[in-house]
Amino acid sequence: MTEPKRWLEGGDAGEDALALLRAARPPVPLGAAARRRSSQRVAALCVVPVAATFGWWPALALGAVLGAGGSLVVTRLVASDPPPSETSSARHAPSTNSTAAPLVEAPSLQQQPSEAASLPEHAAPKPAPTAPVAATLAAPPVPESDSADALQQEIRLLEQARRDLASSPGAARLTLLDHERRFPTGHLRIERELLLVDALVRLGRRTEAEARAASLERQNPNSLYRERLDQILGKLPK
Amino acid sequence: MMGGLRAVHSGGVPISDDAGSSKPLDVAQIHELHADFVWSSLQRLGIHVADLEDTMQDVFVVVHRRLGTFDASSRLSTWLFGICLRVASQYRRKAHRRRERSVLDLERMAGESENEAPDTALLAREAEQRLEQVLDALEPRRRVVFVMFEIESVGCAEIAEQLGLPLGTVYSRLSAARTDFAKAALRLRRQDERRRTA
Repeated sequence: MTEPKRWLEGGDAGEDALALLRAARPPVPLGAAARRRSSQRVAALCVVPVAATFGWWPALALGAVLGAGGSLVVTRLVASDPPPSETSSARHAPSTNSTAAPLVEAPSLQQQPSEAASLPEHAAPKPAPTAPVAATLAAPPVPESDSADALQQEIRLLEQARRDLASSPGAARLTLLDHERRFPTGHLRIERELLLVDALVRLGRRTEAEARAASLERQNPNSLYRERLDQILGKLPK
Repeated sequence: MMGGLRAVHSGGVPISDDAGSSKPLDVAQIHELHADFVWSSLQRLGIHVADLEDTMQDVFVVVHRRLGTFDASSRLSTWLFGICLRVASQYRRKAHRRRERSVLDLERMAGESENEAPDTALLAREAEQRLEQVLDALEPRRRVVFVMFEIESVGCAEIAEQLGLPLGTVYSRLSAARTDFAKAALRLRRQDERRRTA
């Protein structure tokens, strides 16, 4: 069998296909800076025991109930101990050992370091979220009917991110940034930030992870999330 | 052991470095040897340039986790390519996000050239997006062979070598990809025509 002639070099192709192929740009090579960053992240993986990359995410049990006044109340239940199994039901079931905390509006969440800082040197900067987080945290709540639907969407996104976290922290991060863009003041924004800190640590973006964690701690200085943040950042044993 | 580096992964399995020697490699050494291949493979599979670094990290997270299960009789690059395929598949689930961003990019570029004739860069970007749309219609394994041959001008023998495939498989994937590409290009043109006449 002989090698076929390339389409753009006179091979047998239709004009539609040729017009599209002419738009192709050569692949972007792995630059020295991107290679260095990637090496550093991979080196960071080497110091993590393999078992830890399978690690559990503490049950993020999300209970949404309608309060007496008809307004949506969301409680966050974060287990302080690892769940006994990774089964779906275990993940979703409210834990009797968990501590429930009412949602507290945070005064502000400072803008995070630019995502572009770690992009390939040739890559265009990613667009900023549609609304600055600091400016939107104080936004009025959406109507109840919208809230219930929005909460379902929030839960789906966070569940997706949590599933991807161990195997694909980059994919998890994308999902969480999607949540941030769609629900900057969402009910589950604090869980989102926790997961984002975790994803960034796994991606080797420690500076960004610490900045996000510091911002979250400033909002909730005495919150039950502090211990979990310290665990994620390696300040406490998991 | 290689170069005094310690295999930190459980097992420190002996892995061929594709040069025929059998040495225990850890994820850092695999990165050193194959980062370019993973980077290129992910691009060929349609990962947006801005997402390449994180997606590559996802690949090496899987490598780190799964190194103990690697069959040492296989080629490492073939195994890595399989991981790239799966990670890229996960990335595709986020395709809506990419499309939204692309739309934002177009709107931004259109805004910049407001009251001016359509900008060359904008047209080029639109053409790239149309190409991406058609490539996205290809089965990923076929897409990689097509991109390597038609866009990167890599020879079939070299493709077979890089991907660890028989030469006949490269030819058959290329042939199937060409057929699919031509059909998708035709569909796109008909969509455009319908839009114009609507």
